[in-house]
Amino acid sequence: MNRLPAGLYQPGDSVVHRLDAAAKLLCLLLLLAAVVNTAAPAGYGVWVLLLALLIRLARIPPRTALASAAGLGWFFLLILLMNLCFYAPEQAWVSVWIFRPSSAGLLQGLRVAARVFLLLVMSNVLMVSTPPLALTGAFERLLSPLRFIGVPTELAAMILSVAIQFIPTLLEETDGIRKAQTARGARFDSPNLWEKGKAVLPLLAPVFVAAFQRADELSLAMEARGYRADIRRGRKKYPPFRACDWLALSLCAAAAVIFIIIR
Amino acid sequence: MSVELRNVSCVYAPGTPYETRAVTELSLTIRDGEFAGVMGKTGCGKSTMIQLIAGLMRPSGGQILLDGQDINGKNFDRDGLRRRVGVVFQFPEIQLFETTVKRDVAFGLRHFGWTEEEKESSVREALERMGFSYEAVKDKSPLGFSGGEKRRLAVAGVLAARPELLILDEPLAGLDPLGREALLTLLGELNRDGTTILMVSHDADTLAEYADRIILLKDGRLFRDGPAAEVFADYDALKDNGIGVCRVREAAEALRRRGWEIPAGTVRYGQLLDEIAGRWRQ
Amino acid sequence: MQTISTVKKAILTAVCIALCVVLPQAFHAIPNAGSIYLPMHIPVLLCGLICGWPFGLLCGLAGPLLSSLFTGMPPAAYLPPMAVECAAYGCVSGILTRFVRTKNTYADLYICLIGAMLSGRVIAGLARALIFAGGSYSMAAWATGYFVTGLPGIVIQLVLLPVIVSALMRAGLIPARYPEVRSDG
Repeated sequence: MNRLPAGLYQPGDSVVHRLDAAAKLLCLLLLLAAVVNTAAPAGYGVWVLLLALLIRLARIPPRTALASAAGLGWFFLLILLMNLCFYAPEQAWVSVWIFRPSSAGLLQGLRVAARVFLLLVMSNVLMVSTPPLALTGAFERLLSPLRFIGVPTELAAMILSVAIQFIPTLLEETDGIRKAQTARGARFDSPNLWEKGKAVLPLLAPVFVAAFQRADELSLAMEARGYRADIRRGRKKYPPFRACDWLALSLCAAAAVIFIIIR
Repeated sequence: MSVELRNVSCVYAPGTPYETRAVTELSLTIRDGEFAGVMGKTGCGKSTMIQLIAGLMRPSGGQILLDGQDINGKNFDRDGLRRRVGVVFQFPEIQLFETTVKRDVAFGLRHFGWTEEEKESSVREALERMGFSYEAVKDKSPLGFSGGEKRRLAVAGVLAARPELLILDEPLAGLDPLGREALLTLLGELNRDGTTILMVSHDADTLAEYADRIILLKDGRLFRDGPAAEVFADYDALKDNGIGVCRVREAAEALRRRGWEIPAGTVRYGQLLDEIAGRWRQ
Repeated sequence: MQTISTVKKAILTAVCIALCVVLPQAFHAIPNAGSIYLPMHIPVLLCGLICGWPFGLLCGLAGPLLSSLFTGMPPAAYLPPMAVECAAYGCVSGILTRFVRTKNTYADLYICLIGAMLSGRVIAGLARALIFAGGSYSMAAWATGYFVTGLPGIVIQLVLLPVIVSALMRAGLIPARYPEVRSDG
């Protein structure tokens, strides 16, 4: 694991970095709604400009911001071709077997590709500018009203926070097991499908046993200290949104309303 | 098997904010048949070094030679490397997964092209070396054993391949005194039979007693390298760098400070007793 | 059948969610394994099987979410369909495991797994077609995506999961489903 994937948090001190994570998440949802509802090609031009402005504000290197979309060229091509050939068969230029390309399809393909591109880059900006822990906290916060319809959100929040604590330990342990089995001569690849399944067992079975062992120890310790899943604990207090959070939210809401009305 | 590191460096996540240099320009040689101990604080590059030697990681620079051949070279026989180099990782009991002990211990042998008889005799020998009765345990599930027994089963799984170089990463962690003693005795036997041993441990006492030589790493670089008597002799320099020496050396130093003429190279228990007895008689 | 306490179910679910982040990373080291093994499905299915449908559902939703947040995979745009798919696996395997009782641990396991894998793919396909792609997603693409490229994954998961379940039972980490059958055999 010597390489970092796209979309990983990069510390910074821009306006975007400092916004409350829950506010940012809401902003993203508003912007996504607006993008999905944009129909006019000119609208997409405006979006690209707005996005460039956002990346500039967040002081994220453009390469990092675009990284999530950069590797998906083939996917955009696929979207384009699928829509080109199948979207509007009744207006097709020609008909070859099941393929009926049309200009309406081409336009729709471009639209969908642009949409996916914008969605990818926007979410990437959010993820690059927000620590993962703050983001999960934001999810918990936004989902906490679900407790009114009987969803045990506190238990779910506890599970999530425990899961996050387990990630680094299990990553290290898994890497260790992979190396130990490699050193013992394990080969995780095999051309034969059935063998392929069995080839990863030396990795998977110990990983699950080790992980479940840890779960066993932790749950015993929690029960020994009197933790009960059905007791309602005091609700977490979240810091209120500040002026800049409200400003960002209203800007995004305004953008959403404008784009949805104008389309 | 001899090991040679030539100017080896290893960098994690190069070119990102998370870049870390684990090992920097490390050069050293471990001779065939040697029992070498590796010491250093957490994060000093010990684990990276053994993974580089075992061919589990590639260096960003430099060469690693086993018996004079570059293990990352084009024509190097990687499968041969897996057979000839055995690695016992920290808490190796975690690697057990097969349905029976026999299958698990034999797991590493499946690609060697050995006959069934060869495999069976090797598995039997490895299990018996680790203090198990082959007939009693071979068909049991390895996951049902106790912690200490699982550790011994896992070590048997490494020994079954009859490695020429045995690398161990903190093999004593979490073992009871009897288990430690038994494992160390076994390592001594293997070493006498010609296996080169490279053992990482933070336990200076054990290394001083058992290892021919101590390789001390600091911040990914070679800090000291030589017999324990030589490495631990430089008491003040080690203390200044926050590196602990063995207790025998501590005791010797305390006596020296009180005016006893005890050599700075006193690192083994027996040596210290002899020295004290000698001074006493005078 | 012995029951597992809610606290233990909660922690097992947490571990399975963590594995949803960890396993795809580990499989990264094996050449193009991610798309064949679908490593994220394994902990989700297992969580449903062991802890029941509410926990399986949570695992299916949270696993891909945390993975996306912490590792950038899947990219955010793929996240909603993937979360729906995984949630369906966790939920359906949990429901089936409660009602399917053939007196044979492995028969139950295969029925629950196949049921969960098929219905998860149908639900995810429908969700994709109806919500996420708004008409740009055709039936043909769905069938190709799920049954042709995903077929090796289905086979491999059917090989892997029973072995993992049996390893966990042998290590005494999860209760045997039919203890009396075990003591007989």
